[in-house]
Amino acid sequence: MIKKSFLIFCTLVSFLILGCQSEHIKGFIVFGKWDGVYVAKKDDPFVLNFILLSDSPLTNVTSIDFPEISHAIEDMQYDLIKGDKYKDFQLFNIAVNLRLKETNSATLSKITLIFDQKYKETFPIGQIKLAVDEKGIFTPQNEYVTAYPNTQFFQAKLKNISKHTIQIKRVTVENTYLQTKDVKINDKSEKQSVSPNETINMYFTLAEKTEQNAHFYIITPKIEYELAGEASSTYIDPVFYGVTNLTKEKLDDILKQN
Amino acid sequence: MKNLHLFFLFFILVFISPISSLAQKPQGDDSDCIVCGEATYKVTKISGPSLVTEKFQTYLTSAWAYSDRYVWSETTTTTLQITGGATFDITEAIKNQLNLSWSKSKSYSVAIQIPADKNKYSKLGLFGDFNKYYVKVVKDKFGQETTSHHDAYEPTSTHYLKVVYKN
Repeated sequence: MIKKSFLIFCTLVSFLILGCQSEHIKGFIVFGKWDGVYVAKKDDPFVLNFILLSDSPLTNVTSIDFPEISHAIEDMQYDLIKGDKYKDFQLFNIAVNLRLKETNSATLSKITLIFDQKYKETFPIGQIKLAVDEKGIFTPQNEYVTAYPNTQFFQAKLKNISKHTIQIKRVTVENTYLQTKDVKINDKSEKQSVSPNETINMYFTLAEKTEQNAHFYIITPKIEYELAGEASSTYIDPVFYGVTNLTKEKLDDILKQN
Repeated sequence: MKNLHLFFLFFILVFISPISSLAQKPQGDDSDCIVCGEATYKVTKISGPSLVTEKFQTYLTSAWAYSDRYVWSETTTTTLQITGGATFDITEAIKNQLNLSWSKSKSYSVAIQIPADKNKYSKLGLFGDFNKYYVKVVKDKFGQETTSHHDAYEPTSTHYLKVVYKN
């Protein structure tokens, strides 16, 4: 009886010690939430930023993983970048460059941090859909806003680099919380005909679909068009929203969501 | 000899002190100037503010490069811009008399990376939203007036990172 009690006691103590140790290693970590649709060109890496607040310096993070797509990752590099201090927390960005294998699409909603090559902890990061587009009919001209502070609008000068005249039917985004509104091409409606080598000015605003929202967004505008009566679609380069504008309100909201 | 010393001290107190205090008067304050060469400026707002979006501020990277991404790690700051060959004095007068902000920085920052088209020469550029004013400045020096007109772009805290392509 004494031996049994001693064994139970030892097991309990071990659990407590291990539990406390893991908690001590991890500390408090919370990630900002993304609503992202990122369509990259073939052979281009996905360039991602995961913004987090932590009460520890994270010196013991030895690697990272995306458990949902581990099998599809061909190559991944990351940097753990330290930023400003906010209240009692340290701001970090895990800047990731990711290449997928043959898979054409994947969805990220979690990131795993590995501490001291032993302990793992998985955190929600919202949702980022990754896909590859092989067509690339429109390319930015002169300059392209890649990071907007807020989800106010999108504006770009785009050139038709295909050999065909195409009829644009619709311009959309495939995000969970955002949709396009007031789409204009050359200050007219979105239904425009675009010749080879012609440059167009595209403008639209972004409206929220629901009351829910994310802290950061990646949009990849999708152009639906017709070519010789056949319906098709193409994407233009991805754009980040909100990640360059880390306000006190946004950081408080990230902390509150934990 | 003692009298000579006293006379010398008196001379310093009476003549030199007022001259040195005149020299330390703030620029542009000519109210009780006797022979100072400072000009005065009168700034009048003709129109504005109107919002100008995505105006170029500066390049954040120096050389054109074939890059598939850029990492930007500094706090971005946009500053007051005055067109029409404004001198430092005119810029100061416009800023002070219209009570405009000199610069705007972002609040909290951490380095972020953004993608670029690796098949094209590019640079990373900082752009911002500005409040634009059209102003008239009348410079008065020795009673001679010179009038100039300028666009003043006051920075806001809305900044954009753009990949600028060399076509």
